[in-house]
Amino acid sequence: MNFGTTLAISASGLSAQGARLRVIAENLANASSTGTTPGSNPYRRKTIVFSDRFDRTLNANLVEVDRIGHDQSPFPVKYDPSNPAANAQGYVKLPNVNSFVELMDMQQAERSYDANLSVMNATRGMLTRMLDLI
Amino acid sequence: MTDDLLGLAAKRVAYLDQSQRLYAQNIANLDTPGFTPKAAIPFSALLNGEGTLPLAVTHTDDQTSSPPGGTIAVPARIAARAPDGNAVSLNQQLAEIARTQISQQYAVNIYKSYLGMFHTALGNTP
Repeated sequence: MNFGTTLAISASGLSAQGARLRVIAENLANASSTGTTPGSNPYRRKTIVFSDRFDRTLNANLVEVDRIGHDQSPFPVKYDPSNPAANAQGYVKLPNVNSFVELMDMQQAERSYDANLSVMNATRGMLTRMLDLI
Repeated sequence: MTDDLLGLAAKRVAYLDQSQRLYAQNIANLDTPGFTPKAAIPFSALLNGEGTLPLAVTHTDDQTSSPPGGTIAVPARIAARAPDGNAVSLNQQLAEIARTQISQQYAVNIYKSYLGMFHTALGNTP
């Protein structure tokens, strides 16, 4: 029996979803981080992409973080001449983070994390039953 | 080839171990763009000679050696594909996991009961 492999697959899923949650936390924490000098760019939203990777020693498809990229969508602007980051016309660029999108993403990450955890529990149950035979 | 009951139960458990691995892979790749899930062939198909179970590993010193062969995976039937190309259905996969668990419990219990019969026949209390 090789339940260790199955547990490793689920563990890779857990760590991938953990990395995703970290990116979401960064985005939410910086949801109002504007630039510091006039006309400078604010925080740019980060994105995360997963890919499946074949692990030769485990003979299984694990999941890993493919890349952490940057959302290239335009920054919303707000008229706020008193802000230190305001440009000559008095407009401030705000981060392109949408809290609702991040919250939805967080829910999805949580759901996937739960799913991987359930599989881990199920595998552990199977392993325990096998050990009970002894 | 006909197996005895113990052999059959052991094969069934090994098959369910492999299936569980497939479903764990599918669920781990729940958010991987373009991922297509795999499904296990039915156990009856395995008994009829389709697909193979991997050979048992007797030593793990050589980590670079290619893993023991054997596969019971076939591309899963796809109900719908997400816009990012991912085709894993969480409900379907969790249902498969639940079914695998119940079947494994069943197989292990049969194994245990059969061993119990041997114990009784030999006059030992299990």
